[in-house]
Amino acid sequence: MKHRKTRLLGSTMFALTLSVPLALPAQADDTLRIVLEADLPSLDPSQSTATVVTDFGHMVFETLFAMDSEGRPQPQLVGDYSLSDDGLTYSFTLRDGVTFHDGAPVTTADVLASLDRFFAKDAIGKILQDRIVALEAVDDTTFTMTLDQPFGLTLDILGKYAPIVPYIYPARIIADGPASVITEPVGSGPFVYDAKETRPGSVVVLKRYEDYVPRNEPQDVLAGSHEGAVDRVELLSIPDSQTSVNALLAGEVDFISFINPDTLDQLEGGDNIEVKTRYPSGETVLLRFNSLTPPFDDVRARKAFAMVVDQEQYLAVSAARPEFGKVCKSIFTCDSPFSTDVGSEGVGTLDVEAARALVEESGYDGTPIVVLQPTDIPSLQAFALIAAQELRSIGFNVEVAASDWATLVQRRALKVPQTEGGWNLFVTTTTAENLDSPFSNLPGNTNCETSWAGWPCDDEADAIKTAFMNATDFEERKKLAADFQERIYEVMPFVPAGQYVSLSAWNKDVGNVVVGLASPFYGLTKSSAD
Amino acid sequence: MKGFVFKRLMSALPVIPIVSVLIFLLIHAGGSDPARILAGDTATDAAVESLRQHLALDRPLSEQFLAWVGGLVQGDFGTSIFYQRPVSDIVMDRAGATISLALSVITLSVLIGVPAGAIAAMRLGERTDKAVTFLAAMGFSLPIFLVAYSLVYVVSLKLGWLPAQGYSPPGNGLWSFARSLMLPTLTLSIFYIALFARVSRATVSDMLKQDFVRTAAAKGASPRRILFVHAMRTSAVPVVTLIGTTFAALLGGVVVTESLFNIPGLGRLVTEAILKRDFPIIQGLVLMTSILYVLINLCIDLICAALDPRLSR
Amino acid sequence: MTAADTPVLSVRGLTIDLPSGGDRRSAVESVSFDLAAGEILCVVGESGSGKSATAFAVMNLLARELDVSAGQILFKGQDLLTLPAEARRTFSGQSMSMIFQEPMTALNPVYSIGHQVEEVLVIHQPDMSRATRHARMLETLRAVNLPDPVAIAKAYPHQISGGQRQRVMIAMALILNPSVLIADEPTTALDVTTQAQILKLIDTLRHKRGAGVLFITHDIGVVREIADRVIVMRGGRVIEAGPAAKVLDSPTQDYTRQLIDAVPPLQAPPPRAPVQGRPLLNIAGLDKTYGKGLLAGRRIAAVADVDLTVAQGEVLSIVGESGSGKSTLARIVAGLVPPSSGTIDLPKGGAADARGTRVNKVQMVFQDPNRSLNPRLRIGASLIEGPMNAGLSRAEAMARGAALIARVGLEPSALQRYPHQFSGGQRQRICIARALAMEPDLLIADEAVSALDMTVQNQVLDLLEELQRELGLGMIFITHDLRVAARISDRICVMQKGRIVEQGTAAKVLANPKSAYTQQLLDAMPGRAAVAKIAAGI
Repeated sequence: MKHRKTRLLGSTMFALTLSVPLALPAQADDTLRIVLEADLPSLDPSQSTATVVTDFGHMVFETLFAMDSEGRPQPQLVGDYSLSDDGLTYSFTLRDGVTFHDGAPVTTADVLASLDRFFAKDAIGKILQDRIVALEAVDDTTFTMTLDQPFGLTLDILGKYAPIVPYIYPARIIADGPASVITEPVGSGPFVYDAKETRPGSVVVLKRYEDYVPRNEPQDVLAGSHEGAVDRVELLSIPDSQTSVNALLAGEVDFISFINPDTLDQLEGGDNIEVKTRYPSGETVLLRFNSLTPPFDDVRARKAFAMVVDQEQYLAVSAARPEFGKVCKSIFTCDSPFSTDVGSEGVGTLDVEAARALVEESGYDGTPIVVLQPTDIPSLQAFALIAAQELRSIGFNVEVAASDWATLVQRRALKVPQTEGGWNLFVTTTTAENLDSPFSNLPGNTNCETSWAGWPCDDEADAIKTAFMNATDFEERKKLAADFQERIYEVMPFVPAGQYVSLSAWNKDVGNVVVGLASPFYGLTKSSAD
Repeated sequence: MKGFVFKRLMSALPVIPIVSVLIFLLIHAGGSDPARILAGDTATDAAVESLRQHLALDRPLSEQFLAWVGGLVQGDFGTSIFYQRPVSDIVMDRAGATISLALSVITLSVLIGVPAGAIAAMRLGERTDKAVTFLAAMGFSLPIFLVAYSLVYVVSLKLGWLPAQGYSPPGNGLWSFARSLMLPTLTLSIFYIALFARVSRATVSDMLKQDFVRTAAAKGASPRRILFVHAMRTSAVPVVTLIGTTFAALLGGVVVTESLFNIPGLGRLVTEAILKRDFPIIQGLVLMTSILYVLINLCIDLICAALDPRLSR
Repeated sequence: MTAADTPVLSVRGLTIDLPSGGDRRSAVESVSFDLAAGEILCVVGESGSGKSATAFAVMNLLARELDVSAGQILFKGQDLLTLPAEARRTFSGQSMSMIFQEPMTALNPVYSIGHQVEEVLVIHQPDMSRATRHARMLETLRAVNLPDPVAIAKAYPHQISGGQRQRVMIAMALILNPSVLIADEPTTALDVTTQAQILKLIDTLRHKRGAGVLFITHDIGVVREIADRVIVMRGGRVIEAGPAAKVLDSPTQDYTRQLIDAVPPLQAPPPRAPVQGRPLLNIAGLDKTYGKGLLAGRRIAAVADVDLTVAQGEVLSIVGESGSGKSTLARIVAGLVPPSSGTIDLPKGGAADARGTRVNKVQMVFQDPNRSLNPRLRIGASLIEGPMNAGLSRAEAMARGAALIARVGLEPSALQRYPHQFSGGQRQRICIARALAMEPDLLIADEAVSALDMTVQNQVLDLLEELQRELGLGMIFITHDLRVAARISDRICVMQKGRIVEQGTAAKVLANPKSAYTQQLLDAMPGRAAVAKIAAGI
């Protein structure tokens, strides 16, 4: 409260000096201002895998099922559902009275169109689609889904919370087919997108949906009630991290989605500020090989590098403080249900001599290899340099190709050898949702040329993954996950290089912050008690 | 005078089509792909490909160019790939902040910088002059982020007088609009005050050495009259030219200041558009900026011609 | 004592200190003189003699670094130096006023003539009504014989001629009927015919208005024309003073005599043997028109239908007033400006189309040696630049440069110095050396001595003459000064409005001018009365 007093005094003095009546800035107390880590690249959650788009998506749209704190899918838009005894046919009935922001009721027609869009956009969605024999509307509120064989992940996929999220859109805004871009984000979620007040690239304005019909269950991560607690939410993009910290300290914003580790001390010194992680599972640094072209088309070269990857070094750069970083040799996020050490003996041994020998054995001919380095993302820029140094230590000639991120992703898509403009290694980070199981594990996808950039190819790993998805028993799944990791470390399409948590900061007036696999903003409260 | 305007316009207009072709080629020469950036880091190639088709980025360059020019002819600057809004709307939306900032910076810098420079010029070599020169050198060399952070720390965080960031459009109340511009204006003006002080010191001191100043003194004019009526008026042409080009440069966007104070202006728009390869925005903005430059230069020429009759020939 | 004999201005023991570190301690030392009403007192001296500093001290226009350290400046008995600045200002423009050498720069370019003339009234009689002011201004413009005062009042300085500008300056100076008019080289920048008119105007007005005129000049011809009394200054001191006739006809000081002798006599030189060299330059039907293109205004013929030849070893002077096209012609010959039509043939230098060759074979020396040398280059570097561009090695170029520097009469150490370390005359010598370093066949001197003091002018002319003979150069000598042309030329060519109005041997043109214009130029030469006497004596 001392802080406030000073502020008032200051304002008064300033007003007196200028002899101008001081009007306090129009800061409605029921507006929640949240600084996102990046500008929203799109208002269409089916077009972008950026996490900020999901932050926005969870506010405006809803899914049929939603994940609870245990990671189990719970009905969201669906009211009732049943599964036939043979485990092949689901029958879903939508909740009563749910409407889109344009007033139209949510119908099965909307659901089927939205699922089509999801299947076309998402690799995991495609897996489900491949198993569906029939997907039919019974009436406006009920539809059925028939599978070719029982599939234990059906509801998990319908409640997928990582991009691409299977949100339900009004059929009319996606009528132009899956390739179209949604320009009018109308959903059934607790907040309405306000196109008039939104300033693209600066602020996205959301207003509470007055006719929102919440579930009766209390909020549990993404499951349960989505009801909004404030009248208005502004999702801000502030380019400079120090500026957002200043804004939070000055009370001009309420929440910083992710803070720059450098500003931690300053924030902790703030009067009314909470600094915590919302995602305990954190992020993992990934070193990704191009498995198509020499020298990393040879598994020995990949394994040699894996030996000398020193996670501590990467963590020193990425974790705000040592306690926020963790050495993790599982391909699944450590502390997640499937994480294990199996098969990781060859990772991070730091045995340079053995690694050198292996590089030699792989027949590396001394052609310089290209490590992609994004200059506009400081942490990744540093990771690339560490990786380059490690590569040099075992006999590779390394050329660090520095560019902005846009150019990097462009080059990353090229499958040609590095001498013709291709690449050999890039560094990125990803969150648990892209790692925590064989089926969600993005870098462990070994579908050859259709997998993520790097294009590893391994039928055996793919087979284990399929078995995992078909398995219904948790222990069996766990075993298959271990098998999967063991096989992935045999193939070594990437090397995990440390796990760290990112921190969020918010004004203590903000309540109900969700900590877990997901951390939606709609339930945040703001006490206007002054 | 009409002939003069016409002549200036005719000599400037051809710049615009040349600029159009050049920016188009330059932007597309890199071969970057906005679809890939839009789709995100973990998107599949198939998703990227379908997006590319939808955005018509897979068409031959010549076809894209013709489509763009076709739109331009009808006054359509295209649609942003990322924001899915007409480029002209986005630019208009951003222009307010940038124009306001540019105007306030110019006003403050001229009001302080020019008189400071003129006074220094009158007292060349004396203490006042040395002080102005020293401060101007400081103003030049202070890194802008240092100025910004220091001002925010003191004025916003410690004293709580002004907002630390953000831009409040005039529609939300003139007082909060003014408040939101004060710190960024001050930050940016430090450099421009220094610049204007230096330039006007140089020009005015140059003018004070001119024969006509001696004539004025011989007529019995007071030092004040000599400064304001003779030296400053004749210094106006270079100073006005500088003000004009500075204004144009400020309109082109002040990326750092806009970022440090989270002002949604054109500078940020163009940097973000470049980083994301939002081609229509870059093209539209560069084109509009070049048209604006042509107009501003025309205005400068006209003002200068009015200020100095020798120029209107 | 009659009123006319009472000094309106009296300078007593005036001493002006120079900033320390200069080559002398004071700019002006113990200068005393009186100026009576209606009298013209000429102060004569070369640059650096202190004559301008004296005038500036009277008007309180001294540069900041100059200080009056002793003496009195009495205006009608009141010592101006004891007055505070504000009080002193009330004299300037009202009781005493001044006109300057270069009326173009002395007028503010951005205000109309009327505005500037009226400004004197605004300053000194702020209560005068706008209409009265305007009427008074027009009346004064009329008094200095300006045609169409209404139009002139609306015009800007650049829109009227040099002579008109100086008339405006005089109007501005006289509008409040001051008792003292100081004229600092008021005609030096003007053409001879204009000069004659301005001198006549000053002469008339001092009678009409009874103002004492302190007339500063370096030109003995002008002194002869208008002075009642003369003081001669040298090195900051008055070395001789007295009635004009006495000082000019029987000077007591050697230096005064030198000054008088330095004025080239305007008399036809003894006929020279026609030069028989091979032709160096043939110009036929040369035209130069400015203002091309659709959007240009009217077209101006700067040079029209010029035919000209220069032979090896021949000196051709081109004489004319400003705007006559003589400089444009020089630039075309030097290849700096392309002609609109006509042919320029340089038989020896190879084809005129090979532009590089022509530039090497034709070299120019310009009027203002301050501006034609790069202030940041040492003299040596300036000298070797051209030869090295032409393919000489650094060592060869340097050797040539050293030889030339010695030839033009400078120390070898000059090569290591910068332009600002030299006097105007020395700089012009350097420019000549630089031109000769290219071993030209044809040297064009464009008003090369106009900016120099008479005595220095003589020395540079001597040098040019010597070099020209020694090297057998062809030379085109551009000048507005018939006296200089008379002295140096084999042939003279008189230009007016872009055309050649008369051409012939120097002796013929001067002694027996065919064109009325040439006659007019001759008549306008200052000091012509004296010359006429001499001529009559022959």
